[in-house]
Amino acid sequence: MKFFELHPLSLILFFVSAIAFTMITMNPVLLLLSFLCGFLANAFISKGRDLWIYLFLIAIIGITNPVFSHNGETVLFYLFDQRFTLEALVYGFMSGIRIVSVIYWFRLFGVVFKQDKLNWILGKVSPKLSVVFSMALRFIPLVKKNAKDIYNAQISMCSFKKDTLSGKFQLVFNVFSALVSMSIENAIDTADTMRSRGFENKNRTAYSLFSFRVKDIIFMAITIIDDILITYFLFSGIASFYYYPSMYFSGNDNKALVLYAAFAMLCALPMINDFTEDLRWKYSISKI
Amino acid sequence: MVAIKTYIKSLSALVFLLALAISASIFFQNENYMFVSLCAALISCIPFFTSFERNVNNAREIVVIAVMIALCVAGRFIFMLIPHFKPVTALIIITGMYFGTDAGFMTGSLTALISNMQYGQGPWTVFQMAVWGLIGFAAGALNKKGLLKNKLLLILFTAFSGVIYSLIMDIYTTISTENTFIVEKYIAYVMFSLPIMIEYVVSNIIFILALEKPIGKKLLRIKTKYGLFQ
Repeated sequence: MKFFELHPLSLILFFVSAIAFTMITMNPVLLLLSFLCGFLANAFISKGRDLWIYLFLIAIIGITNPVFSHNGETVLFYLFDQRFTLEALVYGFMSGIRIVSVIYWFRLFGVVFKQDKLNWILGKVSPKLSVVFSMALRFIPLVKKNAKDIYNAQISMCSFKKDTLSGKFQLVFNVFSALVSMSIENAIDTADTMRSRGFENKNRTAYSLFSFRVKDIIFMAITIIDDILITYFLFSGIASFYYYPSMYFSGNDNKALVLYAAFAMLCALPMINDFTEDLRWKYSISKI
Repeated sequence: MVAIKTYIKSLSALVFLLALAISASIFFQNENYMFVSLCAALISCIPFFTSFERNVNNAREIVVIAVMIALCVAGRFIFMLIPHFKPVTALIIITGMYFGTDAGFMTGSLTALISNMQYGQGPWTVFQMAVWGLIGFAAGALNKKGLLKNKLLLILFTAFSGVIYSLIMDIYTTISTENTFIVEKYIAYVMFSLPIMIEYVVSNIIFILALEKPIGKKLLRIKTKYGLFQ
């Protein structure tokens, strides 16, 4: 089973822990691990193309931070009579790396959680919400198609000048107005059909394709063990990192290594999962 | 009375969860504005979703809300002829005005979620869900006594919601890049996004003036004909 084929429950647990731990830490080792894993996971699992654009974001955040924040002991130079410090620069780059890591994880979330999984999660929060969600997703292409039809009908009546701005406005508003009537009238029909098929009955169940398998149990168990380890070590103040007034790093003993290993394991889970699957696929090809 | 009770219940749950998030962030490190604000935005959506789950039972209402969401998302596509003009906020306000608070919040928040499925999810999705949802909710709450029937108040409310949307998204930008809240940096971001904000507010007012009457008439007709959202 590839990463995106796992059960939504184990996936949501993974994403929540990866994003939450990335957001609450300022430790450079953890941030770099999260950034690297997020980048690789996006590059290999979702085949993201424009990932490098975010490096500019890191640079911008890193360079603008010392302009606004003048804490820190090591003064590099003075800009408009204000101190430009090394600590503020490092802090800026680290917070840039952190927000970009969070964005990477959200990107992977958006790729992995397509309509069906998102619908499953929303259905757990509120079943009616998931009905609204899935119906809206179906109506969007329908509305677009109807809009195109109405537009073509209006154009063929030649009643609007398409090249003037006021003509454009009039045309578009007419199309939209007709579209609203059409969609809502159709919606009432759809609703009546739903009702006659027993939508408003109490004992309604939702169809879901997902089954919880052994692989999900393993995946979830590793995530939970990592979560417990990371929470314990972060809570006990190991590997805390202070940027101001001067950089102070307390995390270079054995306990901190356990923390780093657990975090690396957590962030690399999607990669490890897909990599072992690829290996299994490669070695089970028939040699005959 | 029941409505007030559920609001008090969900409000206390909200305060509790918020306190939990803040204390968690204090335990881990000194300041975690990003984590807390994301949790707060996510948590603030929950009472509205539960209220929707409880109050809306009619299949017609559910389908009409789904259609309004689809119209909001596809609105960008339909108004492609006129660049920079997106009718999303105006449509959310109109939905809230005529279909009430629950429908307004649902349309706003799900529009944010679904349109970000096309344009890319990020931490901003959660904030957009909360802000657009609250705009729809506020429109519904204000129009309960027919307040927004007044043209001037409607324009004021639209401008205000546009400004608030822009300011809150700037708060998100400040917090996400910095993890703390620095007022100078926030002001710099607001200044930077001022032209976009003005364009946004002006286009919203044009849309609400152009769409409120024709679309509102249609929604009102549906509402009275089928007895929806009473």
